[in-house]
Amino acid sequence: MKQVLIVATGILLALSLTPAPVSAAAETPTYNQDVGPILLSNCASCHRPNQIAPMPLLSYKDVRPWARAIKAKVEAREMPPWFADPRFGEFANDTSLSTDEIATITAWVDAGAPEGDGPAPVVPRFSEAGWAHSDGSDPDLVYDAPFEWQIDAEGESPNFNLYTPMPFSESRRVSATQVRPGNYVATHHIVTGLLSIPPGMVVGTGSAWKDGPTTDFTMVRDPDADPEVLKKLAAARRAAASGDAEDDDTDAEDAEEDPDAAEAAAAARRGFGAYIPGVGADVAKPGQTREIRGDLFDHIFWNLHYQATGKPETARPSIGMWWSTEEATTRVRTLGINEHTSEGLQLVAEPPLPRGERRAAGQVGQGLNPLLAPIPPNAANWTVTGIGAFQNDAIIQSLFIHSHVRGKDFTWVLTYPDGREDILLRVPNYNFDWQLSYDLVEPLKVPAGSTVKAVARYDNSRNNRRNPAPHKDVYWSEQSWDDMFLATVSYTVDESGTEND
Amino acid sequence: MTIRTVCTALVIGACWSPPLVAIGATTQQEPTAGRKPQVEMVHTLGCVEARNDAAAPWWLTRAAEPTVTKRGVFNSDQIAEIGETALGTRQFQLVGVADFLTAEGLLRSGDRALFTTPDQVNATGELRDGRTVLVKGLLIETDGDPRINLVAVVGLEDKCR
Repeated sequence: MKQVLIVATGILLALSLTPAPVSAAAETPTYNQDVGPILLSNCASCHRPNQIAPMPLLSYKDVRPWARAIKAKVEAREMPPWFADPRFGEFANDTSLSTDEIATITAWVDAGAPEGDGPAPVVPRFSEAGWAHSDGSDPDLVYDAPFEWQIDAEGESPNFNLYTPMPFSESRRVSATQVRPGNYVATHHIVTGLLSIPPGMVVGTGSAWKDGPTTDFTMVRDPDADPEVLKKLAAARRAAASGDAEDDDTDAEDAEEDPDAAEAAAAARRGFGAYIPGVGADVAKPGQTREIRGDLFDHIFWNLHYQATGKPETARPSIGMWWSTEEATTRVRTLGINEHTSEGLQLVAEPPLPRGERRAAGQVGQGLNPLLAPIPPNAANWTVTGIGAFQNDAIIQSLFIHSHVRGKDFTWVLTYPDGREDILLRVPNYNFDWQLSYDLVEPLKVPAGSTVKAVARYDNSRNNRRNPAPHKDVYWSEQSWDDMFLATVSYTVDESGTEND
Repeated sequence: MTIRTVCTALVIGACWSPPLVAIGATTQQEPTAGRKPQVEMVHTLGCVEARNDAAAPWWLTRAAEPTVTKRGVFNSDQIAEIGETALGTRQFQLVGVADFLTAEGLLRSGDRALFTTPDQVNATGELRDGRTVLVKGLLIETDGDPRINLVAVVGLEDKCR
């Protein structure tokens, strides 16, 4: 009996010295001790000045007025925004709160949201200028676009391209880049890339798009160009307009001939990245730095898409660059998702038309879109599955899916060469406002002979709160009122080649 | 690599201007990551055989010699042309079959039922016992019968030729 008492006393003593989870503790959580560290770790990267979030959450003074709203949002798991099903995969950029963390916030709010004693929690280092590098640093070079775009209060505008000079003429190695929109509310997306202005053309004054506003940063004919050059240019334009251009499928053909060189060339043209909602800085993992080839390209192109907000808006985007001296040891590649089924049908293309008729028939530059049937009115589970194939050993780094407001849920399935299947990622509630990449905590080695399937469902019914027109067919295009299926797998390979041995 | 991925995805088919399409087109065509493929993408045709073997239930028998092929969806001319090919004597175990089975077959496959209800199934039903089909997939050599990890299945005839 004495031994039992001693053991029991020991257990009680140990329990009394072990901090109990706040949810079970009698003590009231405080901001300084409990809640502040949670919010600063998981929320403040967006909830700070010059960011997308509507209010900062950096101090007790910032947080207190929003306490009840914070409780409601975290209990509903609407904030922080994270959409992966926790049953499948672990992701490095997972900002979701644990059950204990949510319980702590709830208990704190229910107790009157006290500040508590002791020092305030330390605010992590953030860029005061609003850049989003994970280490809080400011870029080494900021390039402000030389245009400030005016967005009308009402109406729709198409995607359009502007061209601005490269800020340097050498190749610069970067560890990170970020494209900032200059106006979060009015910007649908910005994609950047690099190019050299072709002979016979210059960047000058013209319409941003047909019947669109005038800008000084569009590509126009060079008035001083050699007439012979202009003649060739006109012929090339006519050919391109008819789909008869020599280079219609040049990249695809190059890729078949020499895929590594073609992919490297594409990587060089990719520029500084993109801005889409929910996306911050693109920070390279160790060994994955990349080159910005100012030595090959003289201009940045900006593919811009803005949306009306009900009042006139302006936007001046900018690009941040963080230099690196680290050599790249590998390159992040993108697996094409090339085969598709939809609504129980294997997708099959029409036979290719003669070159001169391709563009008019929509056989040039539109990818998957022409093959997909429109989503009928009120269809709540319209399906598309994309399949990609690994012909070499690979290491999956991240997964990404893009759709518009009918996007409902997405699941990534890996099929190994022996037929086993693993679910890599499931996004049960896709959100157009948060187009996240899902970065694997442990990059996944997959053997050659594996396939990946992106299984997507779309909701064109009334049950989809984001659906603007459940009574209409939904077609497939880049416009937000249509929809898209874009799935990619980012991966690396063992560049030493040992995996092939 | 968040933004790089996003950029790639957005430009594939998203934007029709020449530079963007050029990027997209190239990105979609990276079949081998610059190396000789360890595994070939092939197409072949043959007869579907469902076997009472839990470890290897789906087979392609009397199959033609596989042909190394490109990625991307078949077009109807290709299907007609390949469909003229005579059957052969090869046999392949088929894996990655779920999306080409019936709805019931898909729901019984792996963990598909964890995220699919009967009204949400996207299954083509092309892979059924006794049919003649054209398949595309990754050819995996093994010590025994080779396998094909499927990326596409097109039904040619409801009976084996």
